[in-house]
Amino acid sequence: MKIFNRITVLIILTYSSLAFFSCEQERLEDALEIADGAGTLTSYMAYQLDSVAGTSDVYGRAVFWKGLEGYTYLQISLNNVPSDAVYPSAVYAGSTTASGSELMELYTIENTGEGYDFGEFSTSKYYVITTDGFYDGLQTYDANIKVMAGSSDNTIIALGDIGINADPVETN
Amino acid sequence: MQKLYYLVLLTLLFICGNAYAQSTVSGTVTASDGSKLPGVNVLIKGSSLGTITDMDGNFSLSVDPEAVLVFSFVGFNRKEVPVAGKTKIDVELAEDATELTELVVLGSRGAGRTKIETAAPVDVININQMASSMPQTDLSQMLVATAPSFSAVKSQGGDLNSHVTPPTLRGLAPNQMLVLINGKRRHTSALLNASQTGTYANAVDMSFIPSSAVGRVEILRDGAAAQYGSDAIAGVMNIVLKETTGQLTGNLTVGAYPNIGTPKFENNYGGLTAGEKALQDEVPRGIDGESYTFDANYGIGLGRSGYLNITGMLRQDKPAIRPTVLDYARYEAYDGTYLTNQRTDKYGNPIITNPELLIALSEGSYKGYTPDELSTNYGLMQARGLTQYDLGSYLGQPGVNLGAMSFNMAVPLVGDFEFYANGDIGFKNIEGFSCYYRSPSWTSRASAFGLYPNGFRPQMITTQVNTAASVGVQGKIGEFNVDVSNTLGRNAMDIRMDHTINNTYGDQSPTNMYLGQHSFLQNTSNVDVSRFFADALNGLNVGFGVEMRVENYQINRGQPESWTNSDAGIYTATSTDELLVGPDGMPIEDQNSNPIVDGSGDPLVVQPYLSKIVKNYSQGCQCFTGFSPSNEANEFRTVTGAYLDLELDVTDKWLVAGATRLESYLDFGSVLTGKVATRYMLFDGFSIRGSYSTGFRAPSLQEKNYSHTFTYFVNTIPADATIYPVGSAEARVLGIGELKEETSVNMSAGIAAELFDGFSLSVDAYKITIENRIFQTDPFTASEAPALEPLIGDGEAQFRINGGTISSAGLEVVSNYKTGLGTGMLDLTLAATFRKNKFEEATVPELNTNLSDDEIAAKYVQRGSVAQFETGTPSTRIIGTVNYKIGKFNFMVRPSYYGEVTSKANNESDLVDVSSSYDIITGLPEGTGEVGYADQTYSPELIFDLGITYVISSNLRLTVGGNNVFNNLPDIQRYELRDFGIYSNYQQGSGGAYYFSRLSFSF
Repeated sequence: MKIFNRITVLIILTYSSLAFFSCEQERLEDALEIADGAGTLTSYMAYQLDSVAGTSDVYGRAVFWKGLEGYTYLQISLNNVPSDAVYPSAVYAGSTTASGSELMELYTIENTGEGYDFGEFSTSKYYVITTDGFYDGLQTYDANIKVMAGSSDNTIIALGDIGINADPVETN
Repeated sequence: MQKLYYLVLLTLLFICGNAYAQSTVSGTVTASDGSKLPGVNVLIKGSSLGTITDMDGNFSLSVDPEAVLVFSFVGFNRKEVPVAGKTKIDVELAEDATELTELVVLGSRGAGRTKIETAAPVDVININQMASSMPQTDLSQMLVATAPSFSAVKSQGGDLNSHVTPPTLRGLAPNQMLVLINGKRRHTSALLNASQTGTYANAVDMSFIPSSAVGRVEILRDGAAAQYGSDAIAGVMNIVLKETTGQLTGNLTVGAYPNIGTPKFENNYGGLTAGEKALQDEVPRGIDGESYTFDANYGIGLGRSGYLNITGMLRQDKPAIRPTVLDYARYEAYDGTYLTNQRTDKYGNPIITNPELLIALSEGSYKGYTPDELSTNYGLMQARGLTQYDLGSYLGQPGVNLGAMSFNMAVPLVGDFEFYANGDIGFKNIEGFSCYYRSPSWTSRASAFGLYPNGFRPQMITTQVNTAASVGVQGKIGEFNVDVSNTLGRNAMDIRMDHTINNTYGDQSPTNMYLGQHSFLQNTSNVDVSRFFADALNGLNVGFGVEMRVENYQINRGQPESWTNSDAGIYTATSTDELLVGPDGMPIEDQNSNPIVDGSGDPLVVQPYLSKIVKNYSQGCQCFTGFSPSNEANEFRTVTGAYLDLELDVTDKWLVAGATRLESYLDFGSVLTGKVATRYMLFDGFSIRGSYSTGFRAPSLQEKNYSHTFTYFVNTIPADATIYPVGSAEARVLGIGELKEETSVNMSAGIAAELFDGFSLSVDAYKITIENRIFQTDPFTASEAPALEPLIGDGEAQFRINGGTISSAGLEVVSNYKTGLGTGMLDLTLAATFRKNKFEEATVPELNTNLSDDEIAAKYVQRGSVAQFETGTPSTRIIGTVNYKIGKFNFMVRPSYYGEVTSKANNESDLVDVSSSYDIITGLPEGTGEVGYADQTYSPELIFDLGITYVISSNLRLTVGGNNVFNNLPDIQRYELRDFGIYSNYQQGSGGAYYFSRLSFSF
């Protein structure tokens, strides 16, 4: 076979062999599995919770966060929560001065301060409010939040108006 | 299916041929002992036409009366016979006794000697003959399979370790072996890489040399720095390229790891835990690591004796992952802050990491999982459909795309002079398993939740372009042989990282980053002169020459995001005296969700002009920080050398050789080395030999100038450290001086013999002592070296120093026997090496630290490092090869024995009773109650390679076989060491059985 023919064969073989090669390696895929609603929340309305004079020095804030999937997340953060504290909390109708009925029973609040006297919900950092449009209608929501001394002690130790009854101390 | 189609097409292409008969010639082919040879290739020269002999050695072929027939057969010398109008041609082929009679030029400046006549042991590995029946296609792995003193461990991962496979000799470092191509110095890789002998080194990347371009490889197992210069401490490898013309040859090799069955997960230390055994069920089993290699070689004649031989090669390896899957509680995907949505950004805004829990709290369950279940690591993984394997670290064979072309040529000039040249260009892309999985529980590396909600597995990707060219003129001027040459080589490596982030950029981070480029260029100019004085006793060869070498090493920076720090974790106040609190009025929390408060537990007061790091995120690209401007280097070095080499045949039995060489380095001074060697032929076919030499290895530009910030792990806990170049301010403050050359003393003695017809034996003992061995220290902290505090703060700093004396002593045996057996040809080879490496003593420099000498020495001669050098690779290697050719078949069986290896832990730890019972979802095995070193001795291993070749036609051969055909996996690592890889990596590798088929053609 002439040189030319051999080179032709070589070229054909080379290109034929390319069929076995794909230029790209198949790269591993990232594990992105997660439910809707994950991510950083940035829209919020924070309300002040004051201590009740003569009963405690517990105070803090209730923050309503606008969730990414339409839910509203309620966070309560309190100061001066002892390490053994278990404080029930709930949302009540009307302002703090009224004796409204309980609208939502929230989680208990316990010390989560890693050595400091900070307290939050123990079950989950956020209480989920699934009502559609709750966050957007919060400023017309007629309610208040109360924190009690214990499951068998309904003494209110901190409270604060929310929604129509108070202006947020901070919002974004 | 598509590939099968192309295979058939390719096969048809091979077997198509043209036939145009003029007359018929027939005959019989016999061996020198008169036995008839079946299966001999009979080709018409210059064409692809031909036939093979039948079982009685007969052939018949239609040919042009002017044609030339080429007879070839493995184990016999090729023979060309002109037809010259004859109709009957009987041919006798001479046995190929190259093992004994082939002239070896390595280690000699003379005309070459046979292996029995050399003063030092030289292995000659005829790659050209062996390649077709070997499972391996990579040159370094072919040598590993045949030369027990040679090693090239394929790393399974760890940064860039799997991107260059470092070749070593006699258990010493990769850069303590000099590699030559056709006698000219080969450049090394730009990468300063970890090696199997425990030290970082820049190694020659042999993957760029197509094995089908290689005729043979000579390995001089002796110190030869006095002859060849720096690096030739453990020995010298000379790769001799093919010069064949008139024949187009090639191979298409397809192979894969079957990776089937359940591996044994036991060892002498308890094996896998109950949880790990269960988790191994998650690991996919099935064919992987598919490999395709195509190579072709062709040579054409140039002028009266010139040639141009060209080779092309394409190779692709698919990944083969061999992971360890750790217990849930040992390698936790989600920690408490993640599971309970405790995490916040730098402003205190919540990061909802576990939306499944919030949904379940409001709706009772999520996909059937209760809030309690979703509050656990295992439960959330189940809810997301993820396994521990999905979120685990991977190790194994990287994905490789490799293409290379090479050439070798010579053209006769006037008189005895010829012009010669060789070179190659290669491209290699590697996607390796380099890094620990960045679990979301690693809070300092989990800033980009929006990009990687379940963590990420960074992969390093390199693209290398490797070029080399050597040109020269050689001939005779009077009685002098003169060779003037110039050799240029360059390796450049672009480094990328995929599936990664820079945590300080948070979700704004790029996920694929360019980390920078390393390059190394070496230009070597040589003038070599020699003359043979026949009248001086029985002959004296005098060689002398000069060399000038210029080297350049560069590190170029990567993209800024790979090495800069952004502000994902930095809070800057917008007003004076601002309280560092979030929207909930509470102190902003750090990356571990701990409140940032003052000593009284109150929030900090921050100012606009003083930014505060609230999230201490790991800096730079994970898991390999990009090269920054401070790492950049562009360093040159000039080296000049001169040598004198004498070889005197005192009598026809007694050879005495001596050499001396002076090399001068622009950056650290001069080194004078010498060598004496002798050989005495006690009787015909039996010689004794010995040598004594001094040698050296100059610190490479890579060792002097490489710097980088990287992550290391202690029990899966990450920490960051920076390695600084020797001339850096950090090194000077600590008192670390410039690197000096390593110096060596090499002694060897042995015998070489042809004891009877067809049987050769060599036995050689050696000892090499190396002083001023260059080590890389472990990290120093500012608390250990307070002078470093202004420079490194709370970081950690590593350096390279001349740290101690090491030695390697051993015994090497090589025997070969060839004989006719039945109507076939039997070739037996047994080669073994028995070695003892020893770390002799540490050299403790005066350093500006508050550490004792022992503590400083422990920084670079840790138990683990010493053990890796002394016992980390097999001190005993035995390779046997049985090759039997009969008729159209060739059978190759190669048992290979790897002696035991021992790894040692640097520090004592709580030892674990892996057989203890525990909750495999939430718990860990109990401790034994003993604190000790988690050392491990891995059992010796025996594997078998197999290759069966069938000659389909004179143009086609088919080979099937495998490497480690019985799927013998090494011991798994013991629990305390099993945090990344699962198997020992220093014996036969962890891939398991590999099977292949190869279609070879020749026209």
